Amino acid sequence: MNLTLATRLRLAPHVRFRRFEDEGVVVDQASAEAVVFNDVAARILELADGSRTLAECAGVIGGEYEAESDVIEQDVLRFAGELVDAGLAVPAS
Amino acid sequence: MTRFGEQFLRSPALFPARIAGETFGTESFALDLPGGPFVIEGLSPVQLSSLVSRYGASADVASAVTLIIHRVAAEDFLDIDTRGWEYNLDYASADGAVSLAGMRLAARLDLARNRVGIWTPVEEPSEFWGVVENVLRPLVALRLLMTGGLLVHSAAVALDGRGFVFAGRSGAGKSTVARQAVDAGHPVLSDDLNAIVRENGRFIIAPLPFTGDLEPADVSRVAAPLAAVVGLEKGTGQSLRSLSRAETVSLLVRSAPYVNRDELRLSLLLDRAAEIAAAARNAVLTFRREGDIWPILRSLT
Repeated sequence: MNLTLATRLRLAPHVRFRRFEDEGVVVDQASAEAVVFNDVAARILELADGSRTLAECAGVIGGEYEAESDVIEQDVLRFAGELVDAGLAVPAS
Repeated sequence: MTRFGEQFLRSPALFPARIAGETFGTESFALDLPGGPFVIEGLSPVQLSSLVSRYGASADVASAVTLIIHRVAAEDFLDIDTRGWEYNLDYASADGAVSLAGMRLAARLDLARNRVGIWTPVEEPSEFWGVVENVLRPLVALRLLMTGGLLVHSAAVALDGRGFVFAGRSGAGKSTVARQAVDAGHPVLSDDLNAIVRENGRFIIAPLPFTGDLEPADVSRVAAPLAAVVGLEKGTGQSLRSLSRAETVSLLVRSAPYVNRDELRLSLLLDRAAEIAAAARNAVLTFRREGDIWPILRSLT
């Protein structure tokens, strides 16, 4: 699936996310797996609620972490693709 | 991916929508387990003897979750070639009830009314207790989650009176740790499934009769206060490293059978795992089969 910065992403229906301090846990009911994500990934997962485009998510991340905006956008796009490939997130309609 | 019941039931669409049907008899048996107590009704004398041989004498309990055994024809279930087959259950959750289908059993768990219906053709004593236990395990998992606890796929050891839960799936090393504990004289509560329950504001590990490779004589029936949740990694050396809160939650969720596949209970499961992680020391133990792991574990408390 081709994701763009205009894509809005949300967690898949069978997935739950919870933040714990500077990490996050994603639980996938389909596989009974629970994956730990670092602080930045957890922030993206928090922002991916279907209301924001990936560009808007990258903008929020850019305001909170020190990095070049184009680097952040590419990282957000890549991570979003990994989430979709893993079945953890889906483009919001 | 198969639909619910397809691998076990000849007509999955006819799965009972309510708890009713012909029973085997009028005998009953009570089990006082974490998440319970449980009373099993509708038994024939032969089925009762099967449960007594597995769990000992019937307990004396007051209010309880009631399980009613119903007779159905053997032809209602598909024949399963068990060569190389790893036992599994179909599990479906909706509207306050959980449906189970397994080898020669179907069950409906009405959690709101504390009533469970089990439909089976099995009366043979050597097989019947297994039918009941295959329903009891998910039932205990659900009831524990609903009542402030958690069923954890784990070995549990009381080290100097403090409870260590060694969590992990098959192959992680739970049986090895349990065997090392038995050899070292440390009480083992179970090498397969353990109940973490909340009691007087703290978590304890309570004994369950669900063991893996251990003989009943090797299992302790004494509860232990929860001191640590430990993940296991087999290695050539021996070391202990701390687990973060998120890593411990992940470990507990992955090790919480049945409920970690229940979409309706994932949020509660995450909450419970976080509570347990906050109440215990958390670590990963890398160990080798021949090593003495107890000194390094004592340093955790």
